[in-house]
Amino acid sequence: MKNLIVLSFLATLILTGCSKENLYNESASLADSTKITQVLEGKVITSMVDKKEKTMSTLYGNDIAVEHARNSVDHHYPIGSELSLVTWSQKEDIHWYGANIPGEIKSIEIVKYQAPDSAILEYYKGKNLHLGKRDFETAVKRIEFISGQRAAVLP
Amino acid sequence: MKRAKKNNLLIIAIILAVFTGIQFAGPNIKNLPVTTELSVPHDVRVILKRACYDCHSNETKLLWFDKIAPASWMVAKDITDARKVLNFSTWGSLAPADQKGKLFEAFNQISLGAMPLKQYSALHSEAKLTAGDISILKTYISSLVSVKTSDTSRINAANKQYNEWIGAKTRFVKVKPAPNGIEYIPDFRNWKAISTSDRFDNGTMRVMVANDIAIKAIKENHINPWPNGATFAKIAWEELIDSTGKVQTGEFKQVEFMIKDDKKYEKTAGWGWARWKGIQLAPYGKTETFTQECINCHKPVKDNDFVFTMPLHLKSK
Repeated sequence: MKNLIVLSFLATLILTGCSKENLYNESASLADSTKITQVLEGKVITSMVDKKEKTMSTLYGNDIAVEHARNSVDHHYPIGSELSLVTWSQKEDIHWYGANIPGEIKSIEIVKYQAPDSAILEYYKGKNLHLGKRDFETAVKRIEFISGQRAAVLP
Repeated sequence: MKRAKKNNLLIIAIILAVFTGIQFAGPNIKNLPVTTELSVPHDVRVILKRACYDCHSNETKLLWFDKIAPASWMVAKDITDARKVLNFSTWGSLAPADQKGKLFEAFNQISLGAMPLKQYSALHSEAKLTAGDISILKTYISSLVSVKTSDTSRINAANKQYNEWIGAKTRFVKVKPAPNGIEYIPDFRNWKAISTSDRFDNGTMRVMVANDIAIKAIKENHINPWPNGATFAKIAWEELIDSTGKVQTGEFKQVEFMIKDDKKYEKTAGWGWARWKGIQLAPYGKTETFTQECINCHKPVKDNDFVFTMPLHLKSK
């Protein structure tokens, strides 16, 4: 009888464990240790996929950046704008064969406009989002790429 | 004593008479003509015929116990409903893109164990699908997926839509409510993202966003069931694919909402469902029964409160 109780307790534990993983996409979420949690709280400017690399990215922005992206065709973001490009590896959606969803975070690139016509790039990589280094040329290219994305149409 | 016996006999006779009588009453399943033969590989057709055709075609083969009332009435209702959702005998009346959509939906209903219906496969063991059957079906529908570089007409259509949208002075035109009375919620544009989806089955990209009540529930681990007021929007765009496999959002296709309220929407699985299509935001569905389509498709995830999306686990800091 005692064994049975222990067994059913274990079974319940395993079951609840499974159901929690099936409720949240834990692998694609930020680790508890990271300090840049605000990124995922931004509004979405657009989203993209790289079929070859099997990655997907979402471009988030703070209010100033989103306001600009949704109302102007130019890419001269006003001072105070912050754009964050979060890139995940893709995984199959266990609830829908025919869909790929975010797997694990590969990188977060944050572009900050702090002075007229000048921007800086912060680059974090890997699941633990260690601060990485980009050489000058790459940084310029990435700032151009991220700022050059146009907003997805939202009627 | 004799009288009691007589009464018993009378009761039995009445029951028999009623039982015989109801055999001639109630709905009758007729097999209408088959207008199209499904053009799928032989092994796929064999599986579909065995597991799906009794309800999802005009080639229903009822067993003797399916024909006995009152059970036959339930059988008849199941078949009528099933044919409305998917009927392989009138397959040709669907556009190719809709055929592909139906096959993916059917496959997902099967692989998540929602189809064939439990009450059906319990009595019709031949309808049960083995892992081998499922793998044959998966290989077949995978062969229907084609990732093609978007041609200039698609790029031009996306550019045109973007230019009109970004140049528009007024965004908030009056949008008609859905046939079930749900009003458009323009504020979804300011909600937080909980997931994205690359739908290679139909060439769309989706972003799922959620209102503050839902975000709070995510942070506080109260998402099964979701609290009343939790609302999601699923936004879909066509995928624009370049020659190197990079995909950007193309034309806006539709936005769909799920609004949780277990009292107000008790009859529709506890959720208010709505969809607006195209940049004109035309409400989807002719009558309020369109919600049955939504519920049917979401039924395999009923244990997750009918929500497919597994949200990013946003944390409160």
